[in-house]
Amino acid sequence: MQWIKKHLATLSRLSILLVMFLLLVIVSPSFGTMTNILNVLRVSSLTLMVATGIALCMLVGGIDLSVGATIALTSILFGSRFQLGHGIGDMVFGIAGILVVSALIGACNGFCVAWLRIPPFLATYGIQQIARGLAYVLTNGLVYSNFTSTFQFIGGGRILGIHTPIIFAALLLLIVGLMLNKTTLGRRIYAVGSNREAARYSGINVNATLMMAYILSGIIAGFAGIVYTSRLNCAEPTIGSEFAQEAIAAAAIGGISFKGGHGNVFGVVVGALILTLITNGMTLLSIDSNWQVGATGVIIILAVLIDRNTAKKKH
Amino acid sequence: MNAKSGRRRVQAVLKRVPMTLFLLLGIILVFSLLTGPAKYLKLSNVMNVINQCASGVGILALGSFLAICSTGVDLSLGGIASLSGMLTAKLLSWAPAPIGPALLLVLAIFVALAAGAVMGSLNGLILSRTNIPSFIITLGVSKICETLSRVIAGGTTIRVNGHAAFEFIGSGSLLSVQQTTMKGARVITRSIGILPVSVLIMLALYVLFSLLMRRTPFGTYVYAIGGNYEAAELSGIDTTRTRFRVFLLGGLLAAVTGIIMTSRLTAASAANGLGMEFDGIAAAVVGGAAMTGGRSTPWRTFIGALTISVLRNGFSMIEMLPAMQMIAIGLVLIIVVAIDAARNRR
Amino acid sequence: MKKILVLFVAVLFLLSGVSACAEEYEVTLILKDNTSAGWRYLASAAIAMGEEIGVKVTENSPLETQDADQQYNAVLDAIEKEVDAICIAPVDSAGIVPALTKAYEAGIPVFTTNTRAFNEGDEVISFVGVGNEQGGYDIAKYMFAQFPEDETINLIIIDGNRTGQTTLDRIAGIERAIAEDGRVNLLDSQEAKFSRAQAQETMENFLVKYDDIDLVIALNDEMAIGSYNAIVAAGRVEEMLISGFDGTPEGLQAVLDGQISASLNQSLPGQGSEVIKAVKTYLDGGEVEEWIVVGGEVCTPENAGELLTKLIK
Repeated sequence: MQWIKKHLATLSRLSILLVMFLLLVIVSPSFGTMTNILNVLRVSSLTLMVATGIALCMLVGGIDLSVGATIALTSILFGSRFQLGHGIGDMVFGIAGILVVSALIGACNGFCVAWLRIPPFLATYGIQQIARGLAYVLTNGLVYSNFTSTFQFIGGGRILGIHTPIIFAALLLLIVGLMLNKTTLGRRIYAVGSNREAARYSGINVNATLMMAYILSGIIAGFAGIVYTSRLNCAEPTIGSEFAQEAIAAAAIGGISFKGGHGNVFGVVVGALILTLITNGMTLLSIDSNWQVGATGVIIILAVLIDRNTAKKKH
Repeated sequence: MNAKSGRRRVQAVLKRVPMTLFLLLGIILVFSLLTGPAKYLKLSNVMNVINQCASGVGILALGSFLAICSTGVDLSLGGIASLSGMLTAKLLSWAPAPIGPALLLVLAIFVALAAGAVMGSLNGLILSRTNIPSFIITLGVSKICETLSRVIAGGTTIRVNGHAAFEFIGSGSLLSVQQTTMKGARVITRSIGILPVSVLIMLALYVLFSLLMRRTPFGTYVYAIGGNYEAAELSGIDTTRTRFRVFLLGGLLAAVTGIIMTSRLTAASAANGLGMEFDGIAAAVVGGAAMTGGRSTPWRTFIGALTISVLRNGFSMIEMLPAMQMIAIGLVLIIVVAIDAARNRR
Repeated sequence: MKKILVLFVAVLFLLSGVSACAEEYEVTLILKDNTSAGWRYLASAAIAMGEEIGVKVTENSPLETQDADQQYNAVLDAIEKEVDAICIAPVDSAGIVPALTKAYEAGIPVFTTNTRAFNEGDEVISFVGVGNEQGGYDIAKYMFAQFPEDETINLIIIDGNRTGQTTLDRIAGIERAIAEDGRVNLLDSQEAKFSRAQAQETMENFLVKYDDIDLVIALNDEMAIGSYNAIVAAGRVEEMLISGFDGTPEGLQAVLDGQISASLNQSLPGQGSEVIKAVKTYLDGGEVEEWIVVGGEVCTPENAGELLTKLIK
């Protein structure tokens, strides 16, 4: 009983997911197939990866609106540079380049938030505008495609029948989860998020911690971008325009608090799955795509509401 | 009066003039140098910018300001504008209408405002009772509005067929003057509205909200909540009701924007207005609002909104690439807020 | 403060005489967005043609939103810039009319390309392009003809963006073709925002859901290629045909490679250069036709090679 009380919020999130899943299994015959379940997992794994990064920013009391633009800019850079040569060396160089550029974008966010004291919402929105603008300037509307099969394997291949994005997302989540729970950096992130002043007095370098959270979020977005670009086998400047919103919603549904310091990163899995089930389910049920947008909105509100009410947190 | 006190008075006046005003004047100066003042500062372009402000970010920015001032953020304003604009068009294109055109217009505007109020209260209701961050709730409500707008549109754009009284709201003017310009050897005479209805509506709303924020308990409460939420609650302010009203008013303001937008275009598509909420936030913030709440005024927000409109018009006059415009607006936003943050720390 | 203002105004007046007066015509080109490939082809062809015949073409399209309100503002800004002509592909055929009326009042001729404005009258000098509705009809007709006469055709439509004119018109054309053809069974349609990436995801969902798809009509080439990628990944290439729209270089190449069966040649670069030519003729005092037809043919493996060489040239 004590255990149930303690984990009521988590249980309620899981039960929303379970109810949605069961409903879809009942009403749509093609939903329960192995192909579709893998499909759902694969689609949600991209949201999951991005949301893991955003969760870090949310844990330090911030937010990151720039992830979608980061993905667009880095994949465009990758596409335009990597297309020049096609060897493995180029690919490794390109991937390293993506991670460096995305870390830089994260660092810009972190710098604006930590040192310039710009509110995270505005700082990352501004950086988002700049990064996506650059992506457009660089491509002038072109789409880069036809990457090598080695590169395509990263996001489009299967290992033991499981799509690679699912494996990557799981690994990433595991690493971030361990980092948050077992390392000093993790403890610092929680400390800075729950009470910045107290963290400062206890000798934590708050600015450095903030910086790290944003850089990590940037790198994770860049990594997700590699997987995404590879899976689609194309880089276009418009990709990811709704990633930030979706990932933030996933993190929020997953129980990561906007005020910082609260939430378990593994909860993000549930959030990402719930969001993917909405689109996947509505497509399978042939519901007009006009309604999908709204359904996402309703589920976001309901999930957060149920979560809050069961958690019974006082503000 | 000696020199010292004179200087002090100048300083006092300067202190009251918002920094943003200088920024705005500076931007105008740069654009008029780049475009040629005769072209840039001519009456018709000045009215063009003000009109674009009134039918775009101008009125909506008040909603953003209110939300930000009470430590929230309202991402549903664009969605609400889309929904209200769509409802107006749908009702006005009702054929054959069971009521006369005048009554229909009243009904359409009423329904559009009511929709804005309902959506705004939905925001307010959830937010004021649960304290869930406004970001996520208004995001959800925005998506609901967009869907409703799309469904009402029914897969097409809705045209409003020659409803003169309705078109007057968005494109009419109470007073017009003739402007003559030379284009090569040709002389072009155009009539320029100098008292456009939409601009008057915008100014009236700014006067109203300025009074509301300064002279009524509501305004005091909003600033108090923004200043220190716990303290405001402890001092007996009904924070629930105040926050509810903030978002309700935001919904109404977005609805007004939607109506003006539809009237100007004489048609509504579900895409109209989406994304405008970010312009609204940018306007409020450039005007001096802090995301931590409790700062800035409606008139400063107005300067912020004008700055955004001037920037967009100017960029297009100097033929800047749209992608570069995006980068430039991002930079302006970051720089303004960084300066503001630095000044506050001192 | 007052002094600063006085100085400010004085400087402005001094500078009034500076604005240069160019010899050549100035034209503002307003397309539906500044990001997707198709519009880039149109714009670069228009600019290139302008350089050739002495017309300065500047583009001012909404960035990515396909936003009617932004287009309205762009037209008004162009009027204030006192350009010689405005070329526009309206996002919303109805919503652009008031802005075009304003241009007409200011004595600036307007040319529409690719998409018509609603009830074009005196405001619009001429329209350059093919109707999207007709195009939708033609490509659907062509694709239906690929199937045996007494067989049901299970159709999937990959939509563009249901808030925009292009999608509405193309869908209307396809629906007209469906209504004339008794065999077609429309299984489903979803929006994919004209994006290759989104189309791929949408098609993945459809492939899970339906195991009897015969034909996929995508509303542009990018989405057709995205759908093809999804179908290949599912190993179901043999089961169905795909068609695109626009006849972009990538699209034509895909037709040549047999990835998609057909596309509709909008000849976007052709629209771009023709509209600028028409502007020049008109401003020079010549006569232009009300409707200058460019493109419109269905691109098949037979003619795609020829169209492609013409495009790349």
